[in-house]
Amino acid sequence: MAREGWCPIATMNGGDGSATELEFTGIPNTYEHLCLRGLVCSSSSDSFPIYYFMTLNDNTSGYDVSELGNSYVGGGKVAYSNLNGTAGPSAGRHVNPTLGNAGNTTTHGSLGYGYFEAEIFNYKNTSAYTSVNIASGYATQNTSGGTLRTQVRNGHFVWRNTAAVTSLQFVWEASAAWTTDSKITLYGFLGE
Amino acid sequence: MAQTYDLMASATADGSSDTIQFDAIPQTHDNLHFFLSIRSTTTTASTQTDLKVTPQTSSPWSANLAAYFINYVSQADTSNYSSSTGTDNINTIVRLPNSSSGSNFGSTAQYFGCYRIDFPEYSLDGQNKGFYMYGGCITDATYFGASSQANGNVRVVGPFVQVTFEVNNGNFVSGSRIRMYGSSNS
Repeated sequence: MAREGWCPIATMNGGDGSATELEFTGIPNTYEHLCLRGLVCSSSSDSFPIYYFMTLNDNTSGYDVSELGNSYVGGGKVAYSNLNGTAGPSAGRHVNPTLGNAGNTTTHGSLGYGYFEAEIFNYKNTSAYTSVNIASGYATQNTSGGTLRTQVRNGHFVWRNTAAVTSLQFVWEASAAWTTDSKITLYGFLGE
Repeated sequence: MAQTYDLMASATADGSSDTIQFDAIPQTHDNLHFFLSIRSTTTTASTQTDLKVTPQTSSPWSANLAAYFINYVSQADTSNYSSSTGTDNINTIVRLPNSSSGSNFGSTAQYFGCYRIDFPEYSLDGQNKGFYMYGGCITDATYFGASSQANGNVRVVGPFVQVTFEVNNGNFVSGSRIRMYGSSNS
């Protein structure tokens, strides 16, 4: 039996606290799948958790998105989708490839962090579109003792492109910055 | 370098079979993890495609399923619960989502449904077991796809020695891939 598996490729943090985009570059084509795990927070001052997105090879369009989630406060069950930039019947902003949402250090302090895991299929397969499955969530509360807000979210998106993925970018909505201690790790699953 | 998941087996479909089967699974790990990138050859609209997953043991078994689907058409459809029980050799424990008028995995060849299915403690003998699945598929410009997640219990007490994946319409399209990994708790 092969002893091959789940290999860390790279880890990055949120930079100096002013970075609005984080990026993995030079992703090798030696894996079957990729996996991301992150614990992230923004430095915005929004009262509510905000969304963060991931783009592939710096492309900001050409994504199909399907999401479902459940919030303790602030929306209840949610379901969003869009097809190549066209929002579904009840969709709003979710034209972007969403990973999740999280709070910020200004409003939520140390409870502002959100967690995500994403598995990236067919990232080097030039016969298939790249698909990303996502599980994410948060549990936040304002530092002033405000309402506890929690959410779990599952979803996936497809990048309508067969090019090999060599870079991944991460941004917040409204161009918020990443906190210095945000942390994202990229893994590779060997599979051949 | 951490080696927390071991590749145990690989399968790539050639388009001629509706089944992908993993036999004689070694009882060398605690947990099984399947990564699926799959599509059916069916192009029949309005025909639903299910993926059946059978963790085979030496004794009859059954499964309970709680699934959570969303599709593009019925946006509010976020809490459909399904269940499946029985003692047949084949039980549907994962149902692939599809749209109400959809073409399942669609006619666009580059779209694949991508799923992860975990069977924790697959090698235990003496306790029933559970599973967890999440993933989704998106099809072509006509329709669409869904995210889904499912949890369930499998009423088997013996270790899993064989896992079978089967689509009930068409075959696995050529290039469909399933990888099986194992992980250990210590």
